[in-house]
Amino acid sequence: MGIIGAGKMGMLHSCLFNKIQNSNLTAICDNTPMNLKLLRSILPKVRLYDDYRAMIDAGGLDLVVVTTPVFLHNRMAQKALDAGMAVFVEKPLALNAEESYQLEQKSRDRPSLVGYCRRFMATYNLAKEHIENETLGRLISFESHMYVTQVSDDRSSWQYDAKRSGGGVVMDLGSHGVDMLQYLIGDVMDVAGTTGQNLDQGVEDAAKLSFRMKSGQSGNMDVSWTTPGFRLPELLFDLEFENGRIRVCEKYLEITDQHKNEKPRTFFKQMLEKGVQINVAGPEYTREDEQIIAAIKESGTTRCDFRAAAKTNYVIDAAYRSMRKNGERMSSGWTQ
Amino acid sequence: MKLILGHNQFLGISHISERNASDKDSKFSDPTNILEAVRLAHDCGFRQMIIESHPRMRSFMELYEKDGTFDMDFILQVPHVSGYVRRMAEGGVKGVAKEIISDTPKFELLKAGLGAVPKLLRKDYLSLGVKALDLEMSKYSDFEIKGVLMHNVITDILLALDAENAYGDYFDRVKRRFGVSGGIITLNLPMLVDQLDRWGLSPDLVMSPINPYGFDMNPSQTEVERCVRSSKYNILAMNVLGGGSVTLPEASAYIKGLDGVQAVVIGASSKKHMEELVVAFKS
Repeated sequence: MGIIGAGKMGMLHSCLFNKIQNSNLTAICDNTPMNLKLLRSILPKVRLYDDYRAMIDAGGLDLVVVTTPVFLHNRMAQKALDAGMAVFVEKPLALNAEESYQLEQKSRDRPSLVGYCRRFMATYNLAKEHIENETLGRLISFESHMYVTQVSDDRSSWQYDAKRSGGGVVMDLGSHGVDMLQYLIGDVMDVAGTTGQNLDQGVEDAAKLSFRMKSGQSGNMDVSWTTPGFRLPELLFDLEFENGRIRVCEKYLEITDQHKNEKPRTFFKQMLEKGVQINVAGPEYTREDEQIIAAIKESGTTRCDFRAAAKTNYVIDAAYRSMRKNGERMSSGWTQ
Repeated sequence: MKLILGHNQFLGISHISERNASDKDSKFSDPTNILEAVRLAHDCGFRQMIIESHPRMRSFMELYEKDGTFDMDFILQVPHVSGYVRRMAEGGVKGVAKEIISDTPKFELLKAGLGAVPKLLRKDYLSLGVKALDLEMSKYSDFEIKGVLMHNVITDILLALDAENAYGDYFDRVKRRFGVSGGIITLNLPMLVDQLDRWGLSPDLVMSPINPYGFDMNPSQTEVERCVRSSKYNILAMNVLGGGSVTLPEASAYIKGLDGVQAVVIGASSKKHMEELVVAFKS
């Protein structure tokens, strides 16, 4: 496989693909000469490119991994798809719904994956099992948040330029929240969003989103990257069922069964996560990489293909339309 | 079983709750509170402690030296990795290099032949990583350091890249700076031990998660247990309580039943918890 982009996520996936079974990292592309020089000394056997088109045109790749800023995802992924390669794109899939639709259409006949890594975490998958098996009855509603304390004084990087990132915290963190929402519950029907900031003057740092799901439930999500006290991101859902509640985040799942006269039961990730062949920054990243390799070898599917991730782009676009219209409710527009 | 005091509780790190982490972070933002907690640990029988090269822990070390009323042996963990991860996300390799340059005394940079960012970046990634470790260690040269541990993120990146030379470079630098053997933290114990054996490298300390749930024991609990039993290294067990998700009796019974563990690293900040730990892990 070949990797485009040698930033934090590109280096992480380079490490994993260099080590995991059935993987052969053969090419890396980055447009910074300094990075290329550095990479040459680390991975002398890997072919290096400063132009992604040259890397793809050289052929010989089963998989292209795109870990660049968001505004570059579409052209790079399209080029790889045109060349017949499977593609793994770091989240979000694309800058907007239109781009994500193009990618979804082109990727239908082959494995694809978008790096919404929480789909590979044990706590959320246990919550999904409870929802699907209706162990506490039907799901009625939810309250959720995604917080981190990360915003820096230096806002010159691409993440703070909506033209290159697609938006602020709703696009960056909120896309994880929306993806998980649709993974757990199903498709969003419509969304209303508000932010205290003027979106014409820069990206938003916080927003409140309200969802109605196609399966009938409704709920809210607060997103912020300025909330104090969150060294690591926390995506937390309080799920209200007919017969109880589930609280789930990255670190634990807590179940309260109203029919049982007992304290809430807590399942920490430590009890649920199993080992992986190599863990560099969390088992979820290894599982992502293992799954796309398995999908290529076995002509299978992945847990978050371009179709699943495109739906998130549609909801995010609808949320921004709503924020610009003072919270007017907007359809997700996903009709596929 | 020897107990070593961990430092996560002093840096706002919790494996089970961000809110819990935040409360601790707030309390221990004042290094005086760290000093008092470490004093309690000493009173309970702890004689060794791990300190990360976080700015807060340097402030604590200055207070500890000034206080001078009790003795602990300190093992330094490098680097302060969360700062670098943030910089890497925001500014790439150049962002990391800038952070290293701005955080390091000028004379140390000149001594290392690294006066500016471009010069630092002429080195390769691995050299940059090892240089970062060395410059972080330099901030603790004034203190008596009894051991050094490389953070698992760095260890495991180097492992994934088969970076034999970087490990050797690191061990040399630790020896030169503190006169002690370098140690390593890893989440991939069997793979690391296998590589070290093939490369003929022999760290003094190897620290890795060991707990009854098998959490962060990669590739599997069984393989890590087998590796610990047959290891020739001094194995330090971490994540023994799974951040609080494992009961103390469960954890101590599991560790005591696993031959090859030399010491247990656990974070604690209250006297009650520390006393319970000492009783539970008493051989």
